[in-house]
Amino acid sequence: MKTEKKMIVCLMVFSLAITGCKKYLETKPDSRLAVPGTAEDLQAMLDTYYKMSEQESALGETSADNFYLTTELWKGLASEDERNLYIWNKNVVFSNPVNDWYNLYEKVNYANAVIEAYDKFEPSEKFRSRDILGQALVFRASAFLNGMGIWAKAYDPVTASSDLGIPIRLNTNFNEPTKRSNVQQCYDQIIDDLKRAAGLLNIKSSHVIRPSKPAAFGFLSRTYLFMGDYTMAGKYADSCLQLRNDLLDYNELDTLAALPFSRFNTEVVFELASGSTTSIFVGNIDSTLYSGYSAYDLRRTLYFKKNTDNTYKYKGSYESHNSMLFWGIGTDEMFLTRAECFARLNKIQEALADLHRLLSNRIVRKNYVEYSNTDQKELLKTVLSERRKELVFRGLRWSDIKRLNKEKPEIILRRKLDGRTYELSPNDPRYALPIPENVIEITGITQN
Amino acid sequence: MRITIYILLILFSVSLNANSQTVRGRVTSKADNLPLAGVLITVKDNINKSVTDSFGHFSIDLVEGDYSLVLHLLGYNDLIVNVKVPLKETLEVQLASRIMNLNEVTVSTGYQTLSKERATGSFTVINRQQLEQQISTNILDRLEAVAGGLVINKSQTDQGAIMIRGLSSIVGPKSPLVILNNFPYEGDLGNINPNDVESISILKDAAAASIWGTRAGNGVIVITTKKAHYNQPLKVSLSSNVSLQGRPDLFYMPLISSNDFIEVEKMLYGKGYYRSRINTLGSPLSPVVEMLVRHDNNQLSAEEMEQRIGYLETIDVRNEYDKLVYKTGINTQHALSMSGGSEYYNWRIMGGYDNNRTTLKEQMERITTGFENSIHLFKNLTVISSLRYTQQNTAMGKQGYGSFASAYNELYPYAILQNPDGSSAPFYQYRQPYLETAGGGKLLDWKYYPLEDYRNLDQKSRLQDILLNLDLNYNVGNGISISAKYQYENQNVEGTSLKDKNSYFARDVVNSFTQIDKDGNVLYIVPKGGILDKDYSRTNSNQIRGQINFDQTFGDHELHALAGAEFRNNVNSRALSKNYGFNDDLLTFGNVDFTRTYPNFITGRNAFVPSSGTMYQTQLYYLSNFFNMAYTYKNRYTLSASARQDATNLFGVNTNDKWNPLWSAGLSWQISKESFYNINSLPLLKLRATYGFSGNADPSRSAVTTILYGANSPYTQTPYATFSQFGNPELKWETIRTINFALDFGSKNSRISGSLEYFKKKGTDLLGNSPLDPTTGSGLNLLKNAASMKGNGVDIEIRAINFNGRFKWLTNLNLSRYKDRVTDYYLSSIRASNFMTSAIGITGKVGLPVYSILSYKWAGLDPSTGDPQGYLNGVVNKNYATLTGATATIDDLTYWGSAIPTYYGNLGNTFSWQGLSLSIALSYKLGYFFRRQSIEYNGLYTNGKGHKDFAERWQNPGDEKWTSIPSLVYPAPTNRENFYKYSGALIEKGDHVRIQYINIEYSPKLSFLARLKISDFNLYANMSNVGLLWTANKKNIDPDYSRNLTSLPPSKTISLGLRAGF
Repeated sequence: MKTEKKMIVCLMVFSLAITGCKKYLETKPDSRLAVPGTAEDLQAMLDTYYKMSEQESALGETSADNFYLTTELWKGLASEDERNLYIWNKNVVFSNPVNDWYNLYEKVNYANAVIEAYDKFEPSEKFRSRDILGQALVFRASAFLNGMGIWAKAYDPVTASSDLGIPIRLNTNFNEPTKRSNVQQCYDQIIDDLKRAAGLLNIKSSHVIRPSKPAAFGFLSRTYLFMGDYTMAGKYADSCLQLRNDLLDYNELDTLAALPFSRFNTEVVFELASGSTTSIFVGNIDSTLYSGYSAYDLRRTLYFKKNTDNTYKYKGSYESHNSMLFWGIGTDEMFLTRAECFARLNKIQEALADLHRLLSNRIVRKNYVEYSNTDQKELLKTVLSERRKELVFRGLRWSDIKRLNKEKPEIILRRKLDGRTYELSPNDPRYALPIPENVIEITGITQN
Repeated sequence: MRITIYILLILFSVSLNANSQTVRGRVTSKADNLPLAGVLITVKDNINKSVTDSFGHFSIDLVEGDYSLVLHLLGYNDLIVNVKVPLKETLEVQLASRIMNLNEVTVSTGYQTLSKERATGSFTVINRQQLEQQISTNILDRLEAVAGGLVINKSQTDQGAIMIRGLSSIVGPKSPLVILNNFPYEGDLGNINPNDVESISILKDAAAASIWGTRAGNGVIVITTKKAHYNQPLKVSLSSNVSLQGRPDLFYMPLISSNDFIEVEKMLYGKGYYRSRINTLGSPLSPVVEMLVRHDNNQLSAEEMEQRIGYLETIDVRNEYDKLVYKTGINTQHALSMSGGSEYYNWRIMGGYDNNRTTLKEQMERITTGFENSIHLFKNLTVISSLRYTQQNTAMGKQGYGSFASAYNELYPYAILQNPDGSSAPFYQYRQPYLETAGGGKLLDWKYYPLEDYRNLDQKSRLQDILLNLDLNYNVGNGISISAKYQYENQNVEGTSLKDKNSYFARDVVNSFTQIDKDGNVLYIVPKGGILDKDYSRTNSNQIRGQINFDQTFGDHELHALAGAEFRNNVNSRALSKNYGFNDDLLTFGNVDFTRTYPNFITGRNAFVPSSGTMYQTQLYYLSNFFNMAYTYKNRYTLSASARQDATNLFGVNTNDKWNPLWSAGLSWQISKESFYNINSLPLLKLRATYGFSGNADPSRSAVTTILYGANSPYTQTPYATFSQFGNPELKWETIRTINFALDFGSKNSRISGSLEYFKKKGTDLLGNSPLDPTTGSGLNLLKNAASMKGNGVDIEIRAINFNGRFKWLTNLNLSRYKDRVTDYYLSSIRASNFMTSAIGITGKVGLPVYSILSYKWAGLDPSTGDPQGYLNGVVNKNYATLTGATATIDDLTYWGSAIPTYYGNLGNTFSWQGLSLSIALSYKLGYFFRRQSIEYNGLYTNGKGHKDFAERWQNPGDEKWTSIPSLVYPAPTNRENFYKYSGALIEKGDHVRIQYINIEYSPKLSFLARLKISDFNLYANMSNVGLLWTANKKNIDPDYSRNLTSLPPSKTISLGLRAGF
């Protein structure tokens, strides 16, 4: 019986030892893992800059008229998607499943995860972390806004409730089916998010890569502008400019530099960047656009460089990069939006003052002559022309064409290739780009 | 679990009689004089009994008188010994093995060693003799040629993965669990000295493997090392060999010819393809394009250009590599071991030294040492301890084919590595004309010299591995023993990569960040000098096991049972660092600002100086309970059962969900022992049947969404975090149910012996990737329970002694058949293109094999354009967007067959005569298909990746009669390319037979050897990677090495060696 006792003791010691080990089952398998639950976790997710800030879609700009491709350059594009995109062909545009749609909604999902986790915070923690919620809302709204510019028709108050917008996903539940909201719902959501964010955000963020209050105002202004609500667009541009209104003086910059602008310069209110498509990168600047700059316009030499064959390439990215484009909010855009809204609302002097404020920093100082138009129509034309010349490859042109054509169908896009001309007439349904085929297939949503 | 043990204890404890004399004895085996443990000694007409301990000792208390002792041990003939008590001396008894001709084969599961005879499960055992016919640094490389029931699956990687009885899971680890002696081996398998291995057991069915629980889903391989024995005289054995490895056959790669490549470049140049790159300084152009540019700029005459291009057309860079870079590799391997044992102590010491120099002059030096001893400490307590230490130093060698490219992603075929004057030829990673003047002489040389750059790179790693084992066994008596086992392993790898100041890498980084101002002052953002990368990684594991064994025989009943619990942890950590401006002599380095960007010298693009200061740490904990028993009645009927529960610290899973129980049961019947059995020519006949479950613990199963912290954002200087897992609570564990029926047989004198096994597999909730709506923002695929499957197979193992006289001929044949089919497919998307991928995935069609080869239907080439054609609704069609698009489903595809071999195995023949023996081992894989490579025009234009099929493309009407290679088009539509790539035109039969090795051994019986007491001496020569004997495809493709354009079969290796023992 002695042996049995020994055995029982052994067994007891052993089972105790094993029970003690159970706590190890709660250890994190990887030290860097976390279940998002703290304010630090949420800020860390929003600080994932290469997903949140550096992969905005350039598909609209690639479809627009700031550049052109020769037949040789077009055929030399390695990607068939880009060749099709350039001629507004609806087929074979998203061969790669990791595309701009994917990137956009990945960003939305990060923002949604942050918002969901924030909602579970204690009230005191909620109050402390309200800026984080504001940031997430700006990221989500800016993603939806860029998506609307690409995959939806121009805003028309009459048809907005029946026109198809993009899917508005507000949570991280991947089992929830995807549906396309209508254009009105989409813009309503964007405006709601931004207004809410503006009330939560700090006036100044620790870095322009994080959203701030003026950033939320900037996006509100941009959103209302795309909707053709010039009163509100002007109002929010003004709100933004009340907080941030510095401009770079282009007279101070080196026009010979390969990349004349520094990143995060004083005009940058909020940073967003787009990887350029190969088309934009290899393409030449539209000659009408280029010839629109006066000889004393510093933008002509700061934005563009001459190729060997007397064509021009873009070098003026605020990202200080030749294949990354600035997609964020800049004070120059805000001045131009406010000027446009003033002009449309017949506030001539205010509009001229904004133009002056901007252009005095853009034209060679000793040759600068102030605009003095007083005719509303002419002034609006001038403002729009300055808008086009200032905001080259800033992700705004495609949406601008759409809203301007809605007002007056006069911008016709043409591509000449191999002796053939492709044309995109105003308000063509192709102004809403096709949705990736795999999305259509899985979700059954309506294709554009 | 504990209750079971108490019951066992209470049931079988026997009280001892104290008023008596003690009879002591020792039982050994007649065959080799080794002590026999577990021999049951019963006394006729008396209740007393005893069991021998591990030294063969037993004692039994009897009052004075005459007795008959009955000695019984499974696998041995019972022996009756008459004794008269009191007995003066220790009784020495020897037992004879029951089947004298059939060497008792034991299998090791890592928890116990059991005789194969007692096993109900399915095991393959490979002994030392079979393993020693091959020479390799890594022991597992030797399995394919000799083991039954396994195949090396090369559909995913060139190295391949060991696959036991078909693929079990496509998610999670695909390789089997490897056990070294008692515990899973966490270190690098290259740490194990092959000369130290005694045998390898492969556990194939659920009954065999279920003791390892969730980790056994892909099968289990148990490596047993050589052991010393008690009462063994000093034994020394020595082994030494040298292998020569031939240069790789670079011409096996089906690459486009220089002639054709230049033709394409000229065509592209004519069409303006390079126009955008000519304006960009960053992108280099190939020498031919550079000449075309210079010709157009009137800097090169047409004649000179043609002459130079004509010369380049004669170049094949593979010749350059073959001549200038690759040299014969030499591997040497030496091993020495000594062992000995007294009655209470045995020991073994071993050492091995390997020195390999590959065809690229890469060095590998490995020292393996080990010491193991076993002490019978005091009565009934045995302590076994062992210490193994491995050190492995590797150093990088030359840069082989594929290590660099210029102008395209792949190296152009007319590259010249050496100038006519013998100097190393330069390559440009930026535009050549620009580099020649850039920086006005103030930059470092910016050219790359592939032939000599390796001299400036000092890349090495040092691995140190310590493996410590402590094993306590306490024999409580009455058949009960308890054991505690502990293993500690620590593997450190220190990687150092020094790119010195003359290396291209260092020059390129320094130049890229150099700033030269208007006055010509040079500012180095990255200091001049070498770049030093350090990479420390550490694996630390502790494993503890407590186990109670019960082995008892009473009358016709025999019971072996074990139960226990196990705890294991495994901590991996890694730290990387980088230093710039490193001076190797002074050990000084420079400082770099990683927080801001600097413009690139050439493009002006702003970038951060690359840093690599990173740390990782993972820690895994496993907790398991296990139970295993085998009950035998009358030596004929055995019932076995096994169960195990595992838990790990999966993140975000409730503890209760972490336990996953798996079980199995089995039966065996030794028909040949029945009284009615009278087939004399077949003295062994045994039937076995098992049933059980294995599963895969899926590490990605997680109930909550988790994030993974990365580095600091360079902008905010705060850490950022990305999604790691998306909570997926609906996921279920994969389960595989296996039923195994087997027949073991052995003819008289074992002339023919072997086994025949039939198994059925049923997999439910198999995991597969389901296409996910990208709008969810949670990735492209979601892990889902995608399918159910049924499979069945046959494993036949036959050992035959064809001749057994002075001339001996032995044959070993392994033949396996494996077939499975999808029985249920749960995913909604059956779009054809989902199954047209290079990665292997579950076939989404009920009735087809789980891993099938499917293709677009092929209708030949269009006779007027050479376009590939398919079928749409039965009509020949060229609308590739539709043929490959969303409306094409799996039903529109041609089904060819299985993607993994359905018949496979190996055949070994050994002929011996007077100490000379010749062995030839063949392996074969049959009944499957693979997709071969061909020309992809887009890949050719943009990446310079060309297949030799280009030469046989359709060029003129009529060509479609003899070729199926589409015509050249520019630009090439992606859908047309994809259609051809996945069309029926490129499907080939994978069937092939390979000669694995040829081995010649000579064991001379020389008198001087006998005088030197050298008992075992042999010399051998071996040839491995001999090559294909037969292949079904007519295109000279080795199906095992066809995954991509640059896949290469291993080159032939010839080895010479000797083994001696005394």
